[in-house]
Amino acid sequence: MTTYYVDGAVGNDINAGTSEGAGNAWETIGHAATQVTSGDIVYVKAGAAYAEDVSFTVPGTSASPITWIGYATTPGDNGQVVVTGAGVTHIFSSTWSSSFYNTWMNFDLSNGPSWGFIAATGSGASFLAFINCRFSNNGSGGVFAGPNSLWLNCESYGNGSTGIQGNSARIVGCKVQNNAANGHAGSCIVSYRNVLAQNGIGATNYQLIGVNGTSVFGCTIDGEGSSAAADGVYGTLSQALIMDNIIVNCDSGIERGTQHSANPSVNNLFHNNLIDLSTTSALPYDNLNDVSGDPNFADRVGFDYAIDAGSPAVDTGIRPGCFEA
Amino acid sequence: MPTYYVDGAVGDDGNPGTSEGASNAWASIGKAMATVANGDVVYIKSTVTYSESGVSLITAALNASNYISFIGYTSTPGDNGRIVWDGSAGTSCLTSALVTTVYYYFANIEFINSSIHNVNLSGCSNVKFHNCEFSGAGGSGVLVDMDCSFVNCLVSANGSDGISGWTDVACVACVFANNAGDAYNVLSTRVVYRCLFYGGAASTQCIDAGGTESNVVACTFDGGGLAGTKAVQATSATRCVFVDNIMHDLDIGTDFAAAYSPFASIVGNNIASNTSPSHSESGVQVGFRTLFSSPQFTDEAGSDYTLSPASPAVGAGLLPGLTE
Repeated sequence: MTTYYVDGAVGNDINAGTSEGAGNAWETIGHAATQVTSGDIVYVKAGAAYAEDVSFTVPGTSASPITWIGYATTPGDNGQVVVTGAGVTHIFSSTWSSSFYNTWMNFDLSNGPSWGFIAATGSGASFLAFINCRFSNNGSGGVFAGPNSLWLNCESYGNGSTGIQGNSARIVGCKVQNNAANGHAGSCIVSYRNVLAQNGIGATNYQLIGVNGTSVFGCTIDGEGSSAAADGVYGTLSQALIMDNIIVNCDSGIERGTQHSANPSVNNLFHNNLIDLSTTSALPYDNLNDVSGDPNFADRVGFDYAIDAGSPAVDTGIRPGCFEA
Repeated sequence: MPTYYVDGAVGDDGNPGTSEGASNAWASIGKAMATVANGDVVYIKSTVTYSESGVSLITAALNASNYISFIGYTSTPGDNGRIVWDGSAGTSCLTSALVTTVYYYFANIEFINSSIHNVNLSGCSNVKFHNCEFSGAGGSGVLVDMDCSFVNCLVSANGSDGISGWTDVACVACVFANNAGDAYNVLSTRVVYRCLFYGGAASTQCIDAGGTESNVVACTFDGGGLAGTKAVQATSATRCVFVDNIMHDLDIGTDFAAAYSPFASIVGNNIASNTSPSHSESGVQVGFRTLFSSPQFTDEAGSDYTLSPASPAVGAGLLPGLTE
């Protein structure tokens, strides 16, 4: 359970790495990745030009995960560290093939040639956590993790493929916008207070893919008329709770399986979808309080999905979107 | 898939039951329960208190496209008026010996005052309750098995647990008040969203969930300052989302047993007041922005848990339940 420090400006990889400053901190994230063991915390200081292609190879455990935390001036200040893709592959990656138990906080993994972060495809590194990270304008997708991973307060936008990919994912308070393929691909278990907007324009892509038992609530979903078959929320969606969302400009707002099998899709605001609900339920309460109307976004062209006082979503209990501040 | 009508004031169980009125409607819910099959809808008029106990659910529907519905109304079917179903003459209002998926749907029904459990469907899966009440039972308010949902229900003043179930019991916009046992006791919740819990007894949990994939979001918990109260006890807490909640006057906020790391859980953006510790476990990995201050409810003594304009939750991005 050691705490290490990386400072690309003044550090050196021959140092001990156990405190800040010249003579103490390491220089590269890649070196730290070879030194950590389960339970360690690595603080990475912003400011230096981290141009690394880091392969993470050391797993944590569920009780002792490994935590990577960016900071600006004081460890814990949550300043974001910019790491750019210098190599020919990815910025961050892991070839681990099972539970990996690593967390990354406050990293900006953008403008890389391929993915911002990628786990081995298939049953790659699972149980990853990303908090306050940015994945933008990467040549391939934003971030691709193994199952049971989570994203909290992240942004993934402008990437060449999927914004966030991972099975059994939990995604909370994220902005996933303007990616070239799906917004979230894989199977999303919980999607809460996210903005999933304008992903995959011009092809059959989905803003979010769910499975049985998926809960999608408090989200703003904008399909931007992607294509004739591009849905907002797509999946079999049995036992799925879909509530308090604003869903606009999709082919089907919610494309789901068997009639009646979904748990309630209630209290959603639909606008300008070709079909709001692909399969409506005959049960009187299953579509309770669904409303329609222009949600009056502040500036959806500029990806500002705040709603103003005149929006029909105000005072209906519909409270979509990301965390404030 | 006929539609049937029950009217305790003017109906008769010798009638065909297929339309409203004196010579058409049935008199008892029990008659309807014994008759229904795949896809049937039963409208029950609130002309009387239905004092029926031990009504048995005997016929399961085939699949999710054939839910059997029992729906209360006041004057016109579909008006969402509630009926009162008083089970005080026996151990339950509604019970079943079935152990299977049944696909039943109940709306606008107040199940009250049974000597044991108001609704005992402990072997039944795929049951939905909307705008129902479960109160005053000697035992639990309602027992179900798996894949059930409760929306906009009141669960109050029961002698044991409020809602008790097995796995995947979703709960949205419900109020749990003054239950003597745990308010909500299931193995895994799937999701509890925008619910309010208050008035529980000492040493009880608002939510007692095994923990795996127990997602608790935008709920308000008031433990009344009693010893041993917890908002959530999740003994194998992995892959949970616990966000946007208010934990007030509890002994412990969330109790995630140390033997199971809550890794892959998102825990944060909550308010904890007079609650210590807010989280009891060995290292929530994703703890962020929990405020430790009074939520400043409008009228806590009067059980009005809306937030006053001065609340730190206002403008903080916190969106707790039932505050609007």
